[in-house]
Amino acid sequence: MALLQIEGLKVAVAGKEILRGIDLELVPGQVHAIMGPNGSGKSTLAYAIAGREGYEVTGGRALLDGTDLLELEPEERARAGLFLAFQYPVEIAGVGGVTFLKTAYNALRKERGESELDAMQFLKLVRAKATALGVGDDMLKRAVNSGFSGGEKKRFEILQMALLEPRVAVLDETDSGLDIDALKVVAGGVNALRSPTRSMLVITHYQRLLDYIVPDVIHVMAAGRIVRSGGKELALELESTGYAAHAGAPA
Amino acid sequence: MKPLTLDRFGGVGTPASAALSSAALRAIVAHGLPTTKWEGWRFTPVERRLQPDYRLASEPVSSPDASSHLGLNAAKLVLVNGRLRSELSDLSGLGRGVELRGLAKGLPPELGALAKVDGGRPFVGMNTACFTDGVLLHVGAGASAARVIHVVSLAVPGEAPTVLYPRLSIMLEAGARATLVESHQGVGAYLTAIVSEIELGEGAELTHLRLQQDGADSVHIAHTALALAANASYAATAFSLGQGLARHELHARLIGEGARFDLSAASLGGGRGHYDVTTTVEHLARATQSRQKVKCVLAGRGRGVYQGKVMVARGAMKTDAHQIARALLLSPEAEADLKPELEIFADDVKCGHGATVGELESEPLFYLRSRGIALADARRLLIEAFVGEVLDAVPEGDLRDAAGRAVAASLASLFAEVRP
Ligand SMILES: Nc1ncnc2c1ncn2[C@@H]1O[C@H](COP(=O)(O)OP(=O)(O)O)[C@@H](O)[C@H]1O
Ligand SMILES: [Mg+2]
Repeated sequence: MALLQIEGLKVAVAGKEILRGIDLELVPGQVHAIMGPNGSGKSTLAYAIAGREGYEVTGGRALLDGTDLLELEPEERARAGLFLAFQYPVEIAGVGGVTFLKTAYNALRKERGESELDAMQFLKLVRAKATALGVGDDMLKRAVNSGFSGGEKKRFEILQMALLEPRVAVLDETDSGLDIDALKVVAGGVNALRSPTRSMLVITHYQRLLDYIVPDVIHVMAAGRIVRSGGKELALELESTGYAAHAGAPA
Repeated sequence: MKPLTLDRFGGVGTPASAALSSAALRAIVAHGLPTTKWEGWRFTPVERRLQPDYRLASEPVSSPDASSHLGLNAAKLVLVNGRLRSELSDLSGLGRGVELRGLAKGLPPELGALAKVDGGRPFVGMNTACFTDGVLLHVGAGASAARVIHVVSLAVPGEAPTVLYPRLSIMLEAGARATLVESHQGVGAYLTAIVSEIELGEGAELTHLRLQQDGADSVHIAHTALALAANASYAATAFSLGQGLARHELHARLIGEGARFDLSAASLGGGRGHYDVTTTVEHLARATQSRQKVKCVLAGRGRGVYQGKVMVARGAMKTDAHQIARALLLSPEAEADLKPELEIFADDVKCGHGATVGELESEPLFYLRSRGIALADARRLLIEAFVGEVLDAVPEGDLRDAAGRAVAASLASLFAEVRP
């Protein structure tokens, strides 16, 4: 059975239909990429799955291991195993990084009926994961995403994913704003989390990321529809022809 | 104008200062109580919160709960219904050059010099006419109070609504230092009209933490008048956490070059809580500095008010003054009126102000929830962060812990109100 199953998903924002029927099926262990030009609806898909306010589902379904995500509050979706790495991680003044991570982590443990970690246990755990991603203590001490560089924000997103160990991860433009070294670190973090029991949906604008996170399937999105799907060779083709050939094309 | 008769507010009794009393009486009787038409009282309709009749507490009541002492390691002066209770107080260990005592034992000559009585300040007049006790703190030149000084004001219910007239007279001579904690709690229907006069000599430093936690049927009107000599520093953190009406007025005169005024205030409440912070800061000399940060978190029908007037006098060059006021409204009926104001008569100054009123932002809320954090916890995190800025201004250690506990308790009851 598919771990993430999306069927005929239609989403409107501010009364305007943005997604016009999306079908996707990720079996456990698979990594799918969604490519497409700016404004094609990639982030809309990510937000709609995660349950952001203002993204009105007007048709279709989204199931995580058979559970209807669209019925759930955003926090319930997360606890069901969904994780969204934001294209633009939100700065949260005054909420310390460790406090934030610990609250999220313990909410998850509580959901699983496990006991919460105390401050010391948690710090040990988070430090181990942070080091691998080059996230230092100074970053953990600061308020969430506050004053972080673009690269720091993306590394902090991946740290959250490493900590929360989701079953399905949606990574929205995790490569944007990264130089090549930062990209390698982030991609390394993502690859380390690939597992036969986890699925990932990698959203990107550029083919470059897919050199480092090699997907099983690539979809091309244009004007709210998936207009083409194929293997990883599709990325190379797109790189030479561009999206123009697909813009507005029917499925 | 309604004539004011003090019979309603406990009568004149045996005031500590007969001379001040008669002047005060003349001034206030003619003007009556403030209405929303008075300048500075537009947003705080106090009259309707007052009981029809208040009595001065007569003789000592049973010993109040000691928990109101906040667990601070501090010298303590406990005022119960406005009267000093020496058996509950501890004035030891303050060190040389520090005088701390009740006012009933004798008034300092400068009393009334800063908190002037006039018709526009009826509560100052009432206090001045009626107070019978209070606190005197005098720190001599170069001396430091070796312990934190904690003034506790407790209202203990009597047969009728009680009126409390605490009076604080504080003088720090040149180079002196002290840390003052002031806390207000009580049960039942009462009115506190407190007047504090604070004079800081050259280079003197006073740190002041104020915790107001009065009950739902209380009216708390505080008037603090400050005068700062050159390079003196007044650093205050003030928490209005009560459930009734509280107005905290501060009037600071920065008289000497380099004097500095700092206020970080938080008003938290729901129900019918009303929280008014009204300040005037006069920059009267060169290179004086003021910083004001006021935060309100309001649920239920809570109402927050900030009226902050900064005046920069001619000649007060290099003045550096900032005011920021922010209110977070957690319910549709909560309301905030934030009015920072600047009047500048000098050149070459750095002044800024800002005010925002809003709800919790949806983006951070969604971000937190997308990580599995429940809506209620996400809101709590964001609200704590909002107030945290004021808590961070409290000196680290005992004091911040005590303020943190008070804020946490207040937030807990606020959340209980907000949750569907
Ligand atoms: N909050 C919003 N309000 C109005 N329009 C939006 C909003 N979010 C997205 N859109 C519109 O939806 C379309 C798809 O946007 P988006 O999903 O962000 O595309 P992508 O991520 O592929 O660049 C665009 O036309 C954009 O203008
Ligand atoms: Mg996008």
